[in-house]
Amino acid sequence: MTDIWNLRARLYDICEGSQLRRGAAKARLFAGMRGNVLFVAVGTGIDITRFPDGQRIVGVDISGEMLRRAEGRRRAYRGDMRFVRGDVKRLAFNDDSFDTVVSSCTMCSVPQPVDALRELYRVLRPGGRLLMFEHVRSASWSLGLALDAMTLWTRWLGTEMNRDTLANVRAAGFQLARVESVYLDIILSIHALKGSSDEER
Amino acid sequence: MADSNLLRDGTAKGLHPHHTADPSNRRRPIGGAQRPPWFKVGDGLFLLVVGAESGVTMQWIHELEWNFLVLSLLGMGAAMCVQMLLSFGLAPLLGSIETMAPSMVVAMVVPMLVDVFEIMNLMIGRYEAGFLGAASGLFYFVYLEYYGAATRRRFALTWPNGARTR
Repeated sequence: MTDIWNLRARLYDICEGSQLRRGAAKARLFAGMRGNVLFVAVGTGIDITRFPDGQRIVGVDISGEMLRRAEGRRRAYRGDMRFVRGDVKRLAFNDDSFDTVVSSCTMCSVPQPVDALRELYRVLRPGGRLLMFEHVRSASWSLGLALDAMTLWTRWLGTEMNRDTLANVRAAGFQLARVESVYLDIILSIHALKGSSDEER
Repeated sequence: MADSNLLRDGTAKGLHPHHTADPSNRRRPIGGAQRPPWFKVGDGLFLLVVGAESGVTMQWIHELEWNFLVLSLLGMGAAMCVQMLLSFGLAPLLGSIETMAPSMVVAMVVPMLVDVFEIMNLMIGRYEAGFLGAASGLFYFVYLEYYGAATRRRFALTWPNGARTR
């Protein structure tokens, strides 16, 4: 897994660098960051340029090569940001450590996404928010079929185009607060919350 | 699409229905943003080109006059290879998924349409195949415009108020 992402790091900004189109939606989503922020799957740090200034952010990525490439963007960020190498399914943080967890095009690539989301649930404080910019399978039969077909080969590169991430978010225990369309029902801006213990009772 | 985590007023459990204090919610487009016009033009032109390319490729392959099934598979494969190259080329401008997913549908359907003409013994030339493909690409673009609007409406109905956390 790590090897694949080290390899993909070299082409990541070219293939995934659709910031021209997605940048505004990302900036709107990330404006919801509060308090201690965990940014999972930093990648080459392409999303850092869309983060609001002045945040306290810990970035995690499984690939050392990705973090190396993101270093310049980390240094350019006007706020407090540090990187930690690690697996999103086994985070080295205490329970309830963060006020906000942010992910961008991550849950398509994590092998067991519900396990990863449960780990994010664990480190998020009760009442904290999960902000996700993710692509999912379309409900349209034609687009859904195309995404299934694409998954036949993207799976070898570590990405599945046809996941039901909204269902996975719910399965991990989060409450969906808001979902917005960025591109049809494929690329979504997702706001989810970890209910406080009072609400769960 | 009902959400069991939502209260009757559409807010998630324990959340404040008003959200003006949250900068992320200010001027929030309901259900998601409309694409800016230049992206719509780009998407439309791209699907038109992919459609035309797929039609011409399939028609050109059929000129080989081999076994129909072999030519169909070969033509569809060739059309999709060109479509993928075009998608990769335009991904930094129009987005990777935004180009790849819809154009794959067009590159699958248009060669099938050319096949239908072949089966019906209606021999069409390269120009007609290109026109048929371009028209199909534009038709799919219009469908996606409608589908996108329906999606935003659906999301706005399911999550009408958003949320504010503490």
